[in-house]
This record gives sequence, structure tokens and C-alpha cells, in this order.
Amino acid sequence: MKRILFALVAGLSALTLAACGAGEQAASSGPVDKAGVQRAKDTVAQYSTRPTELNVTAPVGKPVPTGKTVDFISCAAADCNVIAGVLKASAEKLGWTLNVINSDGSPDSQQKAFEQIVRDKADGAIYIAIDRSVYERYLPQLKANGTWLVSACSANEPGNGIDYAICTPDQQKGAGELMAAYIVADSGGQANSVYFNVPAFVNLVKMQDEFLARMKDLCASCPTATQDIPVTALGNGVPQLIVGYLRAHPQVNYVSLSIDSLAAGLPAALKAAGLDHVKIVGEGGGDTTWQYIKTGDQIASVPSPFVETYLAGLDSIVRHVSGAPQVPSQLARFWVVTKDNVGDTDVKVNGTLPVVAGSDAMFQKLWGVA
Amino acid sequence: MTTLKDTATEPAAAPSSPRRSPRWAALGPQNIGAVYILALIVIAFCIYLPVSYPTLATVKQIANGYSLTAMAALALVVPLATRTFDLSFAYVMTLSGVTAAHFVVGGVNPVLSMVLGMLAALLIGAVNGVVVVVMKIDSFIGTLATGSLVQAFIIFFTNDQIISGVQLAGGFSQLAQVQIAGFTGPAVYAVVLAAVLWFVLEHTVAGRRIYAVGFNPDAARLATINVARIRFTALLVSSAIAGFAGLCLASSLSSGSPTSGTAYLLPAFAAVFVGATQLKNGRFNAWGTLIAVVMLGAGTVGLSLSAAPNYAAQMFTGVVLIGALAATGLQRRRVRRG
Repeated sequence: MKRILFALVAGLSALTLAACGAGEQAASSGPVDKAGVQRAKDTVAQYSTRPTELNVTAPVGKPVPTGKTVDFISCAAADCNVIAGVLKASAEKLGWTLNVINSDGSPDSQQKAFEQIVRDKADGAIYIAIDRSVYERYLPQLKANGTWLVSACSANEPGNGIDYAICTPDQQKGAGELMAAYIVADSGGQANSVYFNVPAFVNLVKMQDEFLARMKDLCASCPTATQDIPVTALGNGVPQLIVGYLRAHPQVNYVSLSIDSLAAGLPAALKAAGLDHVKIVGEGGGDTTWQYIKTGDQIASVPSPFVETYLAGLDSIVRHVSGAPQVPSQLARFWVVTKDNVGDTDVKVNGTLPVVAGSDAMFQKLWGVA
Repeated sequence: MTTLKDTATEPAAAPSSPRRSPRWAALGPQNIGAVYILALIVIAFCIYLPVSYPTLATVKQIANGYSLTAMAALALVVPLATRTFDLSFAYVMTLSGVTAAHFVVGGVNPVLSMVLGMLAALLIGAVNGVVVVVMKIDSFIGTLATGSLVQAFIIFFTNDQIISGVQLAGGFSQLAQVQIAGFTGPAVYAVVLAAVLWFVLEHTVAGRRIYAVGFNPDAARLATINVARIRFTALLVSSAIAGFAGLCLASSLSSGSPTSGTAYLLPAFAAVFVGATQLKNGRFNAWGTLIAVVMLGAGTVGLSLSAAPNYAAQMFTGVVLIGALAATGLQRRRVRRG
């Protein structure tokens, strides 16, 4: 009897949870906005060439002191390790020491990392996607130590202890515009798309807003939806969530991903479900993404300018310790990678892909250590 | 740990009610409760999603989407049946995948690369055997430790980078992406694997010994069963199945991710423990494990088809797991009371 009761509860739970969803919907489309499609094509054409210059062009202009120490809080993601290597190589050029402090992404490990920075009395510190609430209590000590704090890819604005912020939500939202433009251009104004977002990555929220706004602007008749992916599904649950959504919405022919890693295993899942006509566009990049683009499993990606982001953070520390004026925080220009130009991704710096080819040497030139 | 039912009550449990024939008892909710839950889930979603849910595509999505979880869970059946935990299986999945991917990208024949991946997995199985059986370290701690060492080695070996290359999209990808009547390779492998495990556990002397070791290792030892050898072999079997699942995972992803297997740790344990409440009245068993995976998959796929909020799948899984295990507890207490 109790099992039957439990079965009823489980079934009702499933039904209740399902009722919270959107149910089965039909899609609609209207006349093609030819002007919008043309604007989308122009945007894609403009960003299809790999940028060759940094946005930061002002040399430091003063001697950069040697013997400085920079702490870098790495994260659990594979890319963080690579970034650490890039920063280490540049720090060595400056005659500096870069300490890599590992973190598993938990607030506890992040707080321990900040404790380490306080103990190190580092001249500068760079960290990735850590909210200030985690390290708020260390800010007075860091300020007393004279540590220049660089926040990368978090939602926090500079000020009140954060000396420099880059890869902010506002700076990242341009990738959303490019993804929208690519979908409109590729579909000829006949896209029915869904944008998959990971709400846990708060720094990406404006990218979704921008994607939706640009889709509406470039193709008002293109149905566009959003769907959240729980961070706990990253690893093995994402392909099935996306396949489920696409089966419930068979009119959808484009999938847009807020981070390319959501595509891991997705092409195989789409093929198995007979949904391989659905095209994938993403943001972030990475070796698996380039492989998917080469094999035709994904049509485009807007790579994150990781190398330029963190070198800009190091540049900010260089200018601080040299007494040179700071330059405005800016990301490198975006670039859309497709099958036509994916060959450019084969050239790497310390194992990762700079958006601006040779950006590490360009920064070193600005510092006068090239 | 090996059984969710007391050893002392095991023989008494077979005829669940004197008024029922064994066949009817086998179909009772106390024996296949998950099937009833599955049926209710299916009915609920068929009502809510009459167009998209009651289709062959849903069956394929459940089978294809949860086949790797099923294989991971099946890897745990044999060691758990011998009262031995293997927490390293998820890391072994990762290890075999990155090993094979490394060699495929390096230009080695895909089949040979997969063999090398399997050898790496078996090596860890042997290490687990030494740690747990020879060194007599508690299996929960011992395999957690070896898993940690395996992950450390993977990070060292890959520099924490995903191994990728267009070579992985060739023959290697066929292992998991091949389709047989619309079902992907791993879905078929999981069923074959379950059948093999079922046969070995239920119809061979080795299977009887495995359960005997799990029910009461001291009694098994007195009955001249080589408990150490069986536990050692169980850990090897676990690593072999996990290694094969890891190859399928890397083949499905077309890459060797240094953390891909860890995502299967909890779902696999959840499935195998729920599976132990099915069919065999408290024993870890293969078909019960598959039923549990299908039950969880049916609900999760239904929720994704209905674009339910992002907390829904976790909530559903939690409710089902607590319910299934609580029901087992009630059943056990009822049996104890006679």
C-alpha cells in the first residue's frame, strides 16, 4: 500500500514539475526581414576576420620594476591552468614571480586563496569569476598590503577595493550580438532558435539579454526562446536536456549556447535523436569546439578572448607598480569562428588560442620587455 | 552494505505471502515497485505531453541518453554484491577515455587505443584489489583514495586539458555513435552487459559465491570460498566495465575530458541502490539496476520535454530515490516483524 502511495506521489511530482514548464508549443514565423538579414550578414562579415590589434595600445612609458609578485587564483576549469601558463610566461619576461593558487571553485577554497594572497603580500592579484562577497573581509588587509586587485569575468564593478575589472558582463555581451547575427545570416531570416543559458554563471547574463535583443532587432519574425541549464547538469546531463527541449519544440532549427562546453556530447545526442538538422552556435571556444566546427558538428563559435583578458589584467598591475596611468578596461574585439576560418585556431600560445594573434608579444612590447 | 535486507531474513523472503503464488508475488509492488512508478510516470507524461512523450523517439532518448549511466551503475553491481565499495569507477571511466583518446589523436589504431584504455582500467582494478584485499583497507576509503590518485594522474597526464582532434571523429566515434535500429551502441551494450551479469550472478557457481561473500563473508570463508579472490575479481570486473563505459563516453563526446567520468559517480550509485530494491528483494542485481535507470530516465526525459524549470530534474530524482529506499526500509521492517 505504501509503495502504491509512493508511486502516486512520484507520478504527481513529475506531473506537477512538468506543469511548471512550457508544455508543447507551436512556433510561428512571418515574412523575412531582408534588411535585417543584410545587417546580420554585414556584422558577420565584419567579425569573420581575426583581429590583429589589441584595444590597448598605449605603452607603459616608464621603467617597469622587477622582482614583483603576482598571485593568480586558478579555478577548477581546464582553461584556468592554461591561463596560468600564459601569465607565468609573461611574468617571467617582466622578471616577476607569478604564484598560482589553486581553487576548486568552492567559496571555502576561494577564501583560502585570498588568505594566501594576504600572507604573500603580493603586489597584485588576478582572480576569475569570484564574487566580492566571498573575499569582502580580506579587502582591508589587501589594501593595507598595497595589493592591486584585478577581477576577471565576475559581475562586480571596479571600486571599493576592486582596482581593475575586465571581462565584465557589459564587455561580454557583444558575443551575444554576434551569435544572433550569425544565426540570422545563416538562416536567411528563417531561424527558430533557442538560447541555453547557465544562470550560475552570472557574468554571462547580459550576453543572453543582448542575444535576445539582437534577434528581435535583426529578425523580428524569428521565434526565439531561452532555456536555463542547471550548473549541476554540466558534465553528463546537458545533451539530454537539450534533446528533450528540441523534441518538444520540433520547429527549432538553431541552438545557441552561452558556453561552448555545453556542446560536449551534444552532436552525438542530436544524431541519435534524429535531430542533426539542428545547427549549433556557441561562445567560448576550446579545442573540442574547433574539432566540432572542423567536422561540421557545430557551425560557429565566438571565442572568449581569455589570453587578452588576463594579460590586460597583468597590464593593469604593470601600470600600477610603474606609476603609469591606467588605460580603460576593454576586451579584445570579438571574432566569429566558422568552418571557413577554423584553421586559424591551430596556432596557439602556451596551449591556448589568443583571439589576437601574437597578443602576448604585443603586451610585452607595451611593457618594454619584448 | 551488500544487501538492503538482513542476511537472516534472506531465505524467508522468497515466498512473500502464503496466499500468493510465487509468480504473482514476483509481480507485486514490493518486488517491482519501480516498474509501477515507471508506469505512473509514463501515464502522467502521456496525459501532459500527448504528442511528444508517447513515441518511439522517447524510448530511444531514454535508452540512448541514459545508457552510459546504466553501464556505470552496472559496474558497481558485482563489487557491491560482495560487500565492497568501488568509488574509483568514475575516475576509471575518465582514465580509459583519456588514454584511448590520447592514443587515437597520436595516430594509433582506434582498436589498439581502446585496448590500451581497457588495460589502464584493469590496472586500476588490480591496484584496488591490492589496496582493499591485500592491504585490507576499508573499500570505501581505499577506492576513494585510488580514485583520487587516478584523477591526479589524469591531470598530470592531460595537463587538465581536454584531448581533442578530428581523428576522434573517425572510427573511434563509432563505438558509441553507431546505431542499431535507432539505438546507439551503449544502449545495446548496457543490455548485453546486464544479461551477462544476470547470468553469471544467478546461474553460475561464481555468482552464488559472490552473493555468499556479500551476505556473510565469515560464513563464506568457513564454506571454503576464497573470499579474497572473489573480492579482488569483483574489483577487476568493476574496473573493466567502468573502463568500457569510459571508452563509450569518450567516443560519444569525441574527446577525452579529464573530468568526464566524475559526473556519473552519484547517478550510478543512486541507480544501483534503487536497483537493489527491485526483483531480487534486496540484492544488488543487473536487471533491477536497469529498471532504476529507466525509471529515473523516463521522468527526467519527460521533464525536459516539458521544459520544466532547471531544478525539476534534481527534485524528481531526489523524491524518487528517497521514496524507493524508504519503501525498502519499510519492507525490511515488515519482514523482520514476520
